[in-house]
Amino acid sequence: MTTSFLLSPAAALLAGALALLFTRGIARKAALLAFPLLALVLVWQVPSGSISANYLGYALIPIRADALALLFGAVFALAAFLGTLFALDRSSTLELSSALVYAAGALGVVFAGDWITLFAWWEIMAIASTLIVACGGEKAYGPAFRYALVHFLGGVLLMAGIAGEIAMSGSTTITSLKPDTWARWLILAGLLVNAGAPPLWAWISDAYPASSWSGMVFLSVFTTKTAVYVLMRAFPGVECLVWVGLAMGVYGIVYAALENDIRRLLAFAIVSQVGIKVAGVGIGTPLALNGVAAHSAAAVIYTALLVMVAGSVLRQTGKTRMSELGGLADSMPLTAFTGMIGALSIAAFPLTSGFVSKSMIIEAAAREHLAGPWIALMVISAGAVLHAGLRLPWLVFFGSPRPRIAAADPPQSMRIAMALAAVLCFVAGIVPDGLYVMLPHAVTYVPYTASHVLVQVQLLAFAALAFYLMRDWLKPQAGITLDFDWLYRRLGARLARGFDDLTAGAWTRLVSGINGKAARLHDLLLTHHGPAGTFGRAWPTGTMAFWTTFLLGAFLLIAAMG
Amino acid sequence: MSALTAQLAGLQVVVPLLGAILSAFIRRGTLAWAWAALVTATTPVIAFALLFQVWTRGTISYHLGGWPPPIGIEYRIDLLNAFVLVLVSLVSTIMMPYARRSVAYEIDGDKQAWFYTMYLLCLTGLLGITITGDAFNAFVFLEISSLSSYVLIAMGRDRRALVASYQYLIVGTIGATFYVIGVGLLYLVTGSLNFADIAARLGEAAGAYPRPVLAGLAFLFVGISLKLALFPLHVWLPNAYAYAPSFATAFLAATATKVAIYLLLRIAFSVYGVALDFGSLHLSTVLYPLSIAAMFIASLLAVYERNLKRMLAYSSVAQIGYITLGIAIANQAGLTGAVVHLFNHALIKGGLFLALGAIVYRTGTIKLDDLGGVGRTMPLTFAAFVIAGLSLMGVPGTAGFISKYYLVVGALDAGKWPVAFLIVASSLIALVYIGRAIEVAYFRPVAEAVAHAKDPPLMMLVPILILALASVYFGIDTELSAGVASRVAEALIGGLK
Amino acid sequence: MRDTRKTSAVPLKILAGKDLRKIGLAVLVVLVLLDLVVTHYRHFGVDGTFGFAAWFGALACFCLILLALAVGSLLRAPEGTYDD
Repeated sequence: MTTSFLLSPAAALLAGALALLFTRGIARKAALLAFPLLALVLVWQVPSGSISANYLGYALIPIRADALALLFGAVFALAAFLGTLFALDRSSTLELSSALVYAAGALGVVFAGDWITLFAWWEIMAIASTLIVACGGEKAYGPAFRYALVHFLGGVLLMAGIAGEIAMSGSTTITSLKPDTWARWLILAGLLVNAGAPPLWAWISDAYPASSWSGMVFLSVFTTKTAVYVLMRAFPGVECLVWVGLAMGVYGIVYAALENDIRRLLAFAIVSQVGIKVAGVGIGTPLALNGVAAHSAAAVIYTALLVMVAGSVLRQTGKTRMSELGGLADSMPLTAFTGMIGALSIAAFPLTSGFVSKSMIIEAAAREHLAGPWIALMVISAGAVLHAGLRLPWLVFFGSPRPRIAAADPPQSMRIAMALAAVLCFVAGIVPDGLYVMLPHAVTYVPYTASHVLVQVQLLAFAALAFYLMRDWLKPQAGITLDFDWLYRRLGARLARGFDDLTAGAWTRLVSGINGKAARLHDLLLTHHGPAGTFGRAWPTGTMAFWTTFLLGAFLLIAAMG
Repeated sequence: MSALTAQLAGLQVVVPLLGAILSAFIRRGTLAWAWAALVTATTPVIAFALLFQVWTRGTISYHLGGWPPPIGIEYRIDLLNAFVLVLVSLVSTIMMPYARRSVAYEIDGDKQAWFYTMYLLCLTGLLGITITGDAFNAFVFLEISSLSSYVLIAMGRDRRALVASYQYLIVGTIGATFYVIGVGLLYLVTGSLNFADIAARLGEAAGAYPRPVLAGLAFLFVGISLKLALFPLHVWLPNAYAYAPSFATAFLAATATKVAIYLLLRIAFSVYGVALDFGSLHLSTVLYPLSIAAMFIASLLAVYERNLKRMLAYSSVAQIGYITLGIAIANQAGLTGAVVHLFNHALIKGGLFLALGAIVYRTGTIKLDDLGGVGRTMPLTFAAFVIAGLSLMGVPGTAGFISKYYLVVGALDAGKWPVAFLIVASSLIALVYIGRAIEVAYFRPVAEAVAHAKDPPLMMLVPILILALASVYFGIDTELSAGVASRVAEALIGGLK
Repeated sequence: MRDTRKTSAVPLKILAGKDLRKIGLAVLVVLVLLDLVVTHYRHFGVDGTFGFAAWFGALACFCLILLALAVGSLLRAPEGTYDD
């Protein structure tokens, strides 16, 4: 059993995080690449079935492997590798160690078979990812703190739910649940916080763009996808998830369409993409769940690719505002090229990974005759051109070049990472069977029919036409779009300040009132206690004596009456 | 060897007592520290040996001077006080390496030797209260520990330390007086001072003199409650902890209140509980509201506190509330929670106060507003603070979680689900005050005072890290803490009438 | 160095002209006409009609842009809004 722990992929990544603290130069780079690869290998070494342990009398299943876990485990390990390859030149040891711990947390969640183990890894992810955000520099401290608060809230909801679930059902094992008790609703709410569901979705667009050029790659991969993974495990077919997911899908597009900062735009695109998956979990048929699994795997890679591209632009130009960028295809050809591939993938263009995966979810909605969700999913698909699918590459790499930006493609390791991710996007799109064999349910779906391909190309082409015709209305403009976080960043602060002023006054009055009463009472009781010394000095000791007497009297009274 | 083994119980108190006397003859601070460290280090060895004996062979009865009880003084060691002995001696020993630099920094050279003398006396008193089976002997040790702790507190650099110490002295004296009145009443009705002997005669005495027996309990309870800083008798504690030297704060926070709680457990369960129906004592009736008030009000006071030492002091009052809540619940799980939190909180608070002491050592300040960015300039120290802080909140996987877990289970077993809810809800307040410290330490720009600070020397750092890691370790391996605590609770519950 | 970069951008420059619009328009027309030869499976009735995905895509995007503009006019704020 112990060897299974030591040889688990999560342990390999934790060891990697430790190794980074003690290595420098070449050895550090080697460790940075070797440990994620080791984790990737170890994913296939995880014994199938489950391993149990005991904690406080609860049966734990620290490691449980099945097809779904293997798929997510492999994709996460791969993404961790791409992330560390991309970050090879990053000097912040704290960020990279945290990134490995964060990845370890994600793999821990993937292989967790019980709620307690899951929660432990869940919190490790929350802490490690907060550190990654905070490594974005001084400006990131505020977002990092808010990020931590939101995730702590999510963690509290989840923990309360888990405690209730265990108390009610007596079982710690993660199984498919129907949200019919308050405990399960709490679990669902806790998971949805991490998925970026309303009303707390602003944490993604608040925190992710604040991280460093390398940190956001890791952030974009793990938190939301692990949430989707656990939702698949615990709440498949829960109808409300369809509507939550669709809301996220539309929100992401609308906010991305207005956004000026490329990394914040990608954050909105992430919410939109996760929304599609959450809706898929809500549909809950085998086809839909297959689609969610496949789309998660695909999205991990193409989102990471797009975030790497944005990271490269940030690192090479120091800018992230589209109003200050443009025409970078000239000076950063490889970044532009791989960026286009990422864009095609997120827009689900045929031959890319997005096409072979997203279409399964939409098809599942169609087969279930869910007209509303189907239309919404089609709208969200078409809307991809408004964010990373067209608007971002258009404005950053083509469009009118701004006053010439001196820039070049990033260093080799970053270029390799982007190229590798781009190749993966195509490989999965051209040979979908490689992805399909890893899915949890048997696949009968055929993505490449003339009808599917034509529908998707028409959809995107005419959406692009609409965007082209109205492009002037969506010119990037400086500024931000207010979100629900206004409630806690502005309104909350104002209310707290008001409340503070109010209560401070009331509190002072109350305290002095009580003190006055207590003082009079104790003067009455202890007449020998003269007015020697000021009130302030005599007060604490005198009051203590008063309370002591009071307690003694109260106790005697209760005892005598009882 | 066997002769020595037989005298272990006596040595547990005699060694630090003689050590304290000899220490008074030492002039130089470093030498006094070395001596105090050596003496302290022997105590956990004895304590573990005693725990082992009790664990394998059951309760030990040691007759001081060979006089049999109830005439002579008996040291009576069962699992409960063996556990507390281990706790007190072990935590003190872990802290000792830390003392040298911290004390040298905060206390004038010519007074350091006195400081260590007082510290050893206080340790003697605490171990004595814990080990003795005699009510009046416990009073003597209570006075020894109290008097020496007044001096320890008064030695703080801040002038307000004197006022704080004076306040504590007055209040502590009231507490001791109440305690001795209670013991006197018990002696009047039972004719004995030995706990076990009193317990045996109390049932009969209560039939004849019901009122004095209950009055005795009331005096004992209130007297001890003052010492353990039960809300609202806690007012002495924040100032005393805030202005005492850092090492004294950490030492007293980790041990003194815990020993007072032990005494309460002893009297409530081993004396009164054995003789009378526990419900008829109305201890729970009194403890429930006060404990819950402590958990919330003291925690809220901690939230509004800008001085980190006072913040943690208020937090201590709140945490004591959890322990007394476990006593109020008074079932297997609840008592396990109380006893295990006794242990865990000693580790956690010890670690937190030591970390603050290190921050004082490097920056000279303890005001939250002056400590922006301290997490980045003193990374290991503050990492330990965060770990212990997480444990304080009761984050799963930490020692604090184990305590709260048992308390919640105990409350649920007792059918008091609102209490269970309040335990969880009040833990969230800890999140606020610890979170605020974390926010300042990591997310604020580096303040002037901390700009050139760095982690303290290893001698100080290692004890901090040990306590921080222990507060995680005992969240995972619960054999020594919760395992023993559960046996203790079983024995206490089993002894009830 | 600078020169080679400029040449690499030449194809893009060509496409940026009016030719691109013509090519684009031609592609769109061909895409719609392809519906004459490809049969679509109907789940809802509307989805198998001629040129469905084309007009749906354009309409969906149009509506989303209008929605975005509406949201933008209500909720756009200057960048320093949260800086105290």
